[in-house]
Amino acid sequence: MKQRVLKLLRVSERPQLPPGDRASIDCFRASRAHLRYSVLMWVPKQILALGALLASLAFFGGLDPPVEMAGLDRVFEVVERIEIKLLNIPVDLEWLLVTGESIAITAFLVQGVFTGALLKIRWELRWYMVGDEVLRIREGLWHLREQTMTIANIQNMIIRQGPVQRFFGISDLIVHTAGGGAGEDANDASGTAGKGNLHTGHIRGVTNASEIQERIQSRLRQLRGAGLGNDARDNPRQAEAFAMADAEAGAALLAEVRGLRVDLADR
Amino acid sequence: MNDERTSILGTWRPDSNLMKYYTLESLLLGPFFPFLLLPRFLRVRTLRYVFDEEGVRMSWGVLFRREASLTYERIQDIHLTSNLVQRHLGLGTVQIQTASGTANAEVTIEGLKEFEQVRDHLYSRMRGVTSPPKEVPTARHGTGEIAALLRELTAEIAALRRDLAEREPSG
Repeated sequence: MKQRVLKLLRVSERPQLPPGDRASIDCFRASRAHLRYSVLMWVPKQILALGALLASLAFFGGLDPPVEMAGLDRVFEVVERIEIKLLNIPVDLEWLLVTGESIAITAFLVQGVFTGALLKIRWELRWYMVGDEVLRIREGLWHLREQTMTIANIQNMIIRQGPVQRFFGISDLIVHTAGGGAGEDANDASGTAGKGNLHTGHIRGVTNASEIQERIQSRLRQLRGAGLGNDARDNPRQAEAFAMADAEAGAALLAEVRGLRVDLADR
Repeated sequence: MNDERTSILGTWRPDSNLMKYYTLESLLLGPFFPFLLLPRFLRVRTLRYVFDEEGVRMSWGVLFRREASLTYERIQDIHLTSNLVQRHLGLGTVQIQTASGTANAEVTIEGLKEFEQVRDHLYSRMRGVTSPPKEVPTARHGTGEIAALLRELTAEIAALRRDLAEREPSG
């Protein structure tokens, strides 16, 4: 079932690791508690939708044969006239209501089963990759989204935990790189692949957020530069050039001192 | 044109599937689809991507020509996105972000079937990614050289001091 869905959607279950030093990369999913959390977040939405459905059913059921609302009366009248005039079909109001109601009920059930069944697959497709140099987040089912940033470019990190998340013992680690732009959905905890801010990476639903943060922080401490553009000292080719210059300067100094000694010896 | 290329470097034209994707996209507008289809068509016809050693450049447009370029080292984030239709057409979108203040990606590469290769190419040239390890030992060798020179210098100065000390009683 799952394999079939994935094949139909053309999504591979496992993500692609970035090239380079793959040994240092931890590739992991959100914690299992995050799945339970997203199920729990899904339930109230469904209850709300069910409430709305029942309310509208009660409303339309109350009107049954005698249409009381003036506005609706007008609408039905217009519909009736159009249909009788144009299509020569007698309109059965009751039939219209029943069809509408059954469409609404079916739609609710279908979306409920569908979104519910996909919660687990969605969770399985959410991957985080944390390495010594790279951070990559992949998520999404319909809309696949993969974000890659280097650790060196990370500006700051935020750990966020809501009350329900605290109950499950999970939290979100949010990573920012430099650059502005509106559109960050600060309160979006649903875990869906929203557009959001492209400079923000969300590592949602992990039990060890502070550990990950500490790992990234310790890498950042070793790096110089502000995370903007290129720092020459972070570039091995430049570093080599610096080393060559050092050696040259040292050699010159050596020659000078040697000469001084010779001079002194001659005196 | 784009088959079997080993390196990303060079000029790229979008795949023909991009036009199919744009067509489907504009059909969503119903009867108004020509209003989206025509500009999209012109965009596909004129779209060019150029990858060189320093950065990437893209250009498009017929009446109003636009060209966007950035250097690899200033890339902040790389996003690879694809929706269901794009995946079935073998396409993907690579969005490249720099640290400028816009919310949208500075360069968006779409319509290349080699989007994964493009992403890896861009990533490997980003700031904070070490180059292949063969270059690092050279640098280390350099620091070792400095140390040796400094030791030699110390020996020289020590000899100098000895010379001076020998001279002092007589002078």
